[in-house]
Amino acid sequence: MSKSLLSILFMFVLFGASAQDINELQSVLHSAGFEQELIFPMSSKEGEIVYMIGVEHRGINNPSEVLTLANSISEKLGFKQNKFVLLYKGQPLYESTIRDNFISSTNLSDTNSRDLFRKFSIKDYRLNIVIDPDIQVRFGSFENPIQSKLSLLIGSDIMLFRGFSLFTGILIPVQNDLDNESNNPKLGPTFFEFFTQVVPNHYAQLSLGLFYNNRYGIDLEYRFFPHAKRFSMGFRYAKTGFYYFPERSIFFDSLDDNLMLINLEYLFVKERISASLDFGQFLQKDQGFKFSLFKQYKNIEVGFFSTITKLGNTSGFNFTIPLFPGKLIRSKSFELRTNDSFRWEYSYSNDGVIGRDFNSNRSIKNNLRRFNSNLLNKY
Amino acid sequence: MKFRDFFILIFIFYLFSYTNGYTQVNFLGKPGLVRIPKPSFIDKRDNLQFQLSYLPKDYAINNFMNRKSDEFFYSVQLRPLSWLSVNFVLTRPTDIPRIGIGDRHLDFQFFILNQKKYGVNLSAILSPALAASFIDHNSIFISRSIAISNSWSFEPVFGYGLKDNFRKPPQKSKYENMGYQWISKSEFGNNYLSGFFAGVQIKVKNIFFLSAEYDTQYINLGTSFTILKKIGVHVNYLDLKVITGQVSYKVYLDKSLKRNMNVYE
Repeated sequence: MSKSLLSILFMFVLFGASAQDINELQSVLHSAGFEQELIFPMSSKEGEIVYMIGVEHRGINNPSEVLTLANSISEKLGFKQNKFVLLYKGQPLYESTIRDNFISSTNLSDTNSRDLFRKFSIKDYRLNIVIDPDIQVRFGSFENPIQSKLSLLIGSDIMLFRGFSLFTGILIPVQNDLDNESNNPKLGPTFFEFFTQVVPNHYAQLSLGLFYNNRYGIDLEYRFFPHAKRFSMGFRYAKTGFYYFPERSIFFDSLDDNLMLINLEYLFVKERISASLDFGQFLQKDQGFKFSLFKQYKNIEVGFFSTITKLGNTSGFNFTIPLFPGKLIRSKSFELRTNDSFRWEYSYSNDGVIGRDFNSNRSIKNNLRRFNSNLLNKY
Repeated sequence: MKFRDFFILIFIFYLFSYTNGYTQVNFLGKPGLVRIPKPSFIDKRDNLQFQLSYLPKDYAINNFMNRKSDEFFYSVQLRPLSWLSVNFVLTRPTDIPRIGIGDRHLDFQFFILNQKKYGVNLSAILSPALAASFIDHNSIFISRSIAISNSWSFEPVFGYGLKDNFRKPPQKSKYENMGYQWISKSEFGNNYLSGFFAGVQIKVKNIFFLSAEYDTQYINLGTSFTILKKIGVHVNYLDLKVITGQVSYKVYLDKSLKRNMNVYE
């Protein structure tokens, strides 16, 4: 099998690229898990055509690996001169070139961006079903020191148009001695989310619906994120209320909790550590500061934080890891996999209200961090 | 160990099951012998290590409930910088009711000098004054690894642990000054690493280890080896009287996931 594949690849190398080759490259990239593979010839360099290739891969959480994978496939199929554009929810971030295993990145020009998105089709997205454990643990009760609530969230980010998606899912309770929520399968977080690049390096995300952490409402986030710089900043405003599912019904608390946070972040490139400061008003009108350090590993992020607010002080850690085994089923238009970025946070304080936010696994503050182009060559 | 604890361990193994590795560590999960730490690390790659270890009642070190019991230590180590390791230890005594989750301890190990550059390894452990931890210890120690052959080497370790901790006195105590001050560790029943300690470790090909040490209280022997390519097993002969042990599991953080990069499978 692999021999015949190799000989096919060899033939492609011999005969150079053509329109048919672009289709071939698209289909090989697609079967490797890419969901957008937007390819167009840009110019000619030393007799070879330079291609611009927009790629998005939702199953790999490291942009550096996404680029390396796309490049190695393209080179094997005879595409030697490539400029890659990383996409996040279908929106372009920046342009990258790989030479001698070194990735260099620049901003994407408007013309190229327009040309690229003539090739965009929402239908190229797979129905991506993700299995994600939802774990809540409270330590410290004397009678039952580990109170926990374990559920399985089977959810999907359904792409509706470029940058815009509906996340929804089913939450299947496995075990619960933490609270009195019902033990029937129930609706998981369900919300609309729109992500866009306002102008180069400025990003915004707006979400609306039933979020993670039993919060419903509206969530707006803006971020200034120059990909090649060490400093980034942003703000987040959310108006939310509490919701939960008692037996066979849904309960909504009033929508009157304002979250307003400003974030400043600095990346120490060599150490791959981001120092991050959030200040303002957290959930439940708690005001104060949260200082975090995040270290990036190949597919893992580990963070430590300390929070000082009106309600008290706490510290803790969080991590984001890819779950085993990853891809379970993948076809042209469907994929079933475990979460590539499972996020969990532990806080020393039992009360759990000090400096809390919600939906943190969806925030662009956390999700763009790995896209800093200084990090791409540091793993 | 309760079934629940076992389940949590299995779950942690699952969460981090995509990568693995191994090295010799002491009972708190730090690079070390049996109970004493050492200033060198075998692994240069970034990793996260989980460990479960056991001390019987007579040798229990965590006195936070003023009662002794068999103790399980759950520990996690991360070295985010080449010169710094962060260690977290949760102590869970077995037969004491109503204790909550247990005593939570955090400390930092600073790798100050390494043998390659300075001829010796020198390292210090600092426990920040968080008041609530009963195994706080501050120590400094030095070692040098001496190769006997290509695969054999031995490494003597010497160190000193402070007998006092800088902390606030407990409430309802005889102290007039309730601020931060130097207080003898033994007042809290904490005798771990108080004074001079020493040991020697023999290493065979980075996979098999033999250790002998004086840990300021007892003389201990220890050995460790790998099973199933993933799990480090340590068997210790504590005080030359009782056998204890620990199990460790290591995750390499910068390892590529094969499944991501395998295209033509």
